[in-house]
Amino acid sequence: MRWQDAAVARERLGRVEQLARGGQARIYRLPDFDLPGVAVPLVYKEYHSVVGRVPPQGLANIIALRLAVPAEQQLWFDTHLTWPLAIVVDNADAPARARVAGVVMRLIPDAFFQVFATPPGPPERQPNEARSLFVGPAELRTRGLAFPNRAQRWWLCLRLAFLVAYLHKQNIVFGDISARNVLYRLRPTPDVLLVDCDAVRKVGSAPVVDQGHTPDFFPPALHEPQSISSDLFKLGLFIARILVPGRVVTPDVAPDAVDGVLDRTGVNLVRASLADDPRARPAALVWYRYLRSGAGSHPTTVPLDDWRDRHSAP
Amino acid sequence: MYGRTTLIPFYLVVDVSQSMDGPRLNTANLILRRIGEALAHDSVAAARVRVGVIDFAGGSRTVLPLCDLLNTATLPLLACRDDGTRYAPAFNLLRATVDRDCRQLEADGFAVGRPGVFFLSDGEPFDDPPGAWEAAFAALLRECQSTPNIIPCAVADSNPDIMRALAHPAPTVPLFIQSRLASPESAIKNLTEIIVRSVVASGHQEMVVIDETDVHALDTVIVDPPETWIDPDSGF
Repeated sequence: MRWQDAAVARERLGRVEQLARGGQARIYRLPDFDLPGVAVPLVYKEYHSVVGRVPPQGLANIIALRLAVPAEQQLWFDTHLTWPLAIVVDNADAPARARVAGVVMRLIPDAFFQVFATPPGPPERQPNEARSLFVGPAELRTRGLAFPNRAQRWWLCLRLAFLVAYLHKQNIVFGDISARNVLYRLRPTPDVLLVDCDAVRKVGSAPVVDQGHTPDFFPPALHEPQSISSDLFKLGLFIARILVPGRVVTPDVAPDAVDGVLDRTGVNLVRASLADDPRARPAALVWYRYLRSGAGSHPTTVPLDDWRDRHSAP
Repeated sequence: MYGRTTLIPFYLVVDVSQSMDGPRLNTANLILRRIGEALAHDSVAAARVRVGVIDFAGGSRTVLPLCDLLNTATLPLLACRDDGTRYAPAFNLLRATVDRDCRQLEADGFAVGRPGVFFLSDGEPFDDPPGAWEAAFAALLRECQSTPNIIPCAVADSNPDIMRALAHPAPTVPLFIQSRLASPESAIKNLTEIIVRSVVASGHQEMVVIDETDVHALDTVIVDPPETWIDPDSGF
């Protein structure tokens, strides 16, 4: 795919309404703009200049990965990965001088937002980042959030393992699996969503948008680049942190921390995931199969009434 | 020239084996009545939707031939049979019924949309010989002139893996699996609401649409994508 085929001029987006601002980009809602074949609300992610020059052909290659997904997987793909859908460029009339300003992506679905208590101010509606899964019940309560039970956590781990395995099967490295790039929901079913998929990388090609590792998720080797095996390290650490909320779970203590939470097989999977040797880390598919086999004993989610009660508590 | 009216046939295929006896079946019996009530309030949907009911246990029977519910004087009640659960007879009867009904409606001058099937079971199939229901299911998908959308509704002790395999087209069709924390009756009651709204919505859109707006009222598991998507040893 030529990048020009995936490019949109900045001024064609119409009105923009700022939604959020992060370290690398600003997010704007696009009330007037739509893309053929994409039936969800869209946003414009505008890179800050610190991101540096983003090569448009690199982004086009990532966009093309989504277009190659088989038709029956498209819906699932779009509801689990906020993938770049189009490149936004300045100077569209002069392709040689065109500069990537950002990307068009889908708006994060409502179910992945959460209303957080932020006393003394009014409650704020924010993406439901996975970091809420790592803290204990008391801290969650002060934020006005429900504390997911073990079965829900198990399902979230299962869904995350599936997503990572899915990307790896297509030879895609997600890269920055972190407490902020994984969003979760509990309703209608426990599920996860990966955001910032413009920073993914195809195995064997250079990264397009460099994101580095989030500090809390550094793999053991100094300067270990993002790869399939660094994804697997982070997946193992993530699962341990989800299942042992309220404790500081570092790679050193993770195998002990999950002892008693997971069976022996599970503890060994955590230990192998965090191994210094990248080749020793179990594939996401192995994690998925393990969690799937245990899911039979935890098939439930909290009944709605229970959930409502907790949320309507004053 | 005016376009022909498109009809969407719906089939409720309900397990009436021993384990469904009592409150479960009583609740399932309300599904048809609720669909009728909803259609009575929605003339657009009522004009485009036809409903039939098939039951199954050791064998399978037509309980209500495909019809316009508003013109049906009395709605039949499902009755429990002192029998085990076999899926093959249900799929065989469904295949013959869908084919015959579609031909009939076309002969009557209607366009016929892809049928929708709500397949409700609370137990595992014990088909004899083994493999019988799988073969019957494959034949249903392969030989039906208009392959139906199949929405498995799994309650109580049904086997999630089997029910997942029945979703067609997989995996975008939701599979409803009841939580262990809710009673089977309440699961069926919740399913009823989704079935009713889906039938009405399908009437409006002239195709099978599953209403998911209120799926959160259920303790559900939406169908997991198949493992072939993530297994490097299988193709796409």
